[in-house]
Amino acid sequence: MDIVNQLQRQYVDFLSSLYREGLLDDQFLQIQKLQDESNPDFVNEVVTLFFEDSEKLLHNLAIALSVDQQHVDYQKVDACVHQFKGSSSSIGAQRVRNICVSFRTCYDAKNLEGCLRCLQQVKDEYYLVKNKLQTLFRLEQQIVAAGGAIPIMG
Amino acid sequence: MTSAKRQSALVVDDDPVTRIITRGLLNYFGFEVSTLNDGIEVVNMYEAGKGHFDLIITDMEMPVMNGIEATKKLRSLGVGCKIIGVSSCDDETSRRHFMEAGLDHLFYKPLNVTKLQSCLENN
Repeated sequence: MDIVNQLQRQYVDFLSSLYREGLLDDQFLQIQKLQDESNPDFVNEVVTLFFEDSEKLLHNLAIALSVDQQHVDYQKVDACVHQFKGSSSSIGAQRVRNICVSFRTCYDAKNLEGCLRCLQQVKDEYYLVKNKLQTLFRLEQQIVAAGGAIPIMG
Repeated sequence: MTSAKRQSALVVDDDPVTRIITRGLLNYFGFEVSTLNDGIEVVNMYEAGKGHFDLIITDMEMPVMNGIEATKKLRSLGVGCKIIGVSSCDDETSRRHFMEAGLDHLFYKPLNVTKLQSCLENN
């Protein structure tokens, strides 16, 4: 049981740090609460879809912003960022969502330089939260493999 | 929410992540859930006589037909079920336009589990 307790403590500490650092907000906790015996992989399913969707959006944004100032399709940028803001907000990826809000200010002003800066920032925040969530899921797998239950955060 | 016969719900949203989360939420509340990607799809479904839901939750911003137009159209077709809108626009003017379209309730994104549950239980 010692190893299970240790892993569970590690899990709680790690997840708490994600909330403390603003990487995740209460919305992620609400998603975790929807996972039960009838839907045991719900969080993994949602997060995996978020990863796939986000990488497509980042790719599309990079293409839309890879042209010169006169030819940027800001409507396309708007559509991508709007969707990214929605999905990151739905999953609780707070810092990604916040960058999307700043991003909007740049493309509303047709500020290409600002958009490119925001694109880099949103990529950085996205990959950070992705890595953290993948670490979290690895901890979950270790707990289950050791015969323990995944702690429920209040 | 428990019921001998499960109520049916339709989630309309162009964002796949939000769609799956809202579906999970409604499953959790005991609904049988279907999903569509855009307002035009739900209107086409009801126009074809194939729409029979107890609840519709619709995103208000969608690429082909947005939630306002879809809601107006559904109400003009005589659709009387509860329609809940979800939007990222939190200004009062937008809120008024959304409600005037025929929504029963409007929530701002992200959809809050507690508030939605309270809304569904209070009918």
